[in-house]
Amino acid sequence: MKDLVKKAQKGSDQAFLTLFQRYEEDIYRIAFIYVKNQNDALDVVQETAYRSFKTIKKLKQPNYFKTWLIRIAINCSLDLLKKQRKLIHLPKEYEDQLTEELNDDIELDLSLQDLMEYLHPDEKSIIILRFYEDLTMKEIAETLEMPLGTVKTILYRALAKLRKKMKRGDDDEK
Amino acid sequence: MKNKIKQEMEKIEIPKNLHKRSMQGVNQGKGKALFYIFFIILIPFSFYFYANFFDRYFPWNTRDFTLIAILLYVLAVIPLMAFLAEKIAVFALRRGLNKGKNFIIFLVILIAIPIAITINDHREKDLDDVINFNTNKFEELYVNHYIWWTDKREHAEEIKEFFSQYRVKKMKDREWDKYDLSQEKKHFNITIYSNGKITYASVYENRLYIMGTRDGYYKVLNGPINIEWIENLVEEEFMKAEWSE
Repeated sequence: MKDLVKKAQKGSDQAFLTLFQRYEEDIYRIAFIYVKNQNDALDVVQETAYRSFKTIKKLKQPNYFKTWLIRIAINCSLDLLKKQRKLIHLPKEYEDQLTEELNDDIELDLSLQDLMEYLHPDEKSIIILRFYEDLTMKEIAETLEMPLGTVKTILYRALAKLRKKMKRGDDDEK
Repeated sequence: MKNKIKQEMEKIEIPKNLHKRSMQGVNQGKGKALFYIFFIILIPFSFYFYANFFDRYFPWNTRDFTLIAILLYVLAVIPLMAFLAEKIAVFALRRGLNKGKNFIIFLVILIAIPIAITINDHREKDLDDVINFNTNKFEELYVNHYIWWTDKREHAEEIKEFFSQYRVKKMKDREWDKYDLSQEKKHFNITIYSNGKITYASVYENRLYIMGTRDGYYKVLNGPINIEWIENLVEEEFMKAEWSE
């Protein structure tokens, strides 16, 4: 992979395409979670391909190609939501940072709809990076360029939101 | 939790045209680079032709008019060049002209065409090639602002033959501006209507100015032009016309 990245950085569009197409399905799925429809998700994939192709020379660590790509995909998704005026900023309380470690390994009967409908885009980013891409909290903080404490806060609140939703669902069933 | 999220996300169906869209994104990146290259090439050439166009057809050299000309260039010509650059970039990408040797050849051709036009414009020519009109479709001509006019084809052919003996070359505007025309004692002007087009020439012994298909300022290389010949022709024909009335 390192060789392919180096070739792509030297200008080989074939090398870049080979690399990109390894992760395009992941990128599509991540985009879909944000934009909730196929057309917009494909637009995000195209825009991600364009932006990453233009800026691949700036990638300093070839080993982090996938993470770098995903960050671009998340930014493209958020930009599209902003353009469509569907993006609302997180309330101020999220700026309060958690410093303690938290247990995020909690069993939840989660659906795709829960992911798409109940979470704010920033919450989605962290859930996806934590549980779909298997990044550590530190890596998530670096990827999203957020303080570690903020990442923990957002994750904690996202999980709390989902738990609350599940509990409401269980109560309705009863 | 991890497995559950992965399972849920794997449920998202992948569309068939995903691969195609990825490639479009990459091509978009390549296209933009090409766009900027072509735009940078088109700008100086557009400026050259635009400046010449304004000098020829709008010779009023006032500050206000120059400002209007500059504004028009910025607001109309530059966006037009951007539009053209985009079209050329798309064409080049479709034809695979953006790859290696093909791109260099395409770029050389693109740069060579306007250079060739400019060189052709400034090479030596025969005067009848510059004051160019079709004698088969000749309508009428006027000499010295309607002092004499004719609609006879033989006159047109005679004058064209007269012009053909002289060689001329285009000169720069500043050369004409610096030149003292009062040194040239003899002069005539001629307006020719042929095939629906008008050609006007102001002819001195060693210089001339043309408005028509090859307009501009020219110097005569094998002058001086025999202005007396035209004067004699005009006088003869004028006298003939007088006597025939």
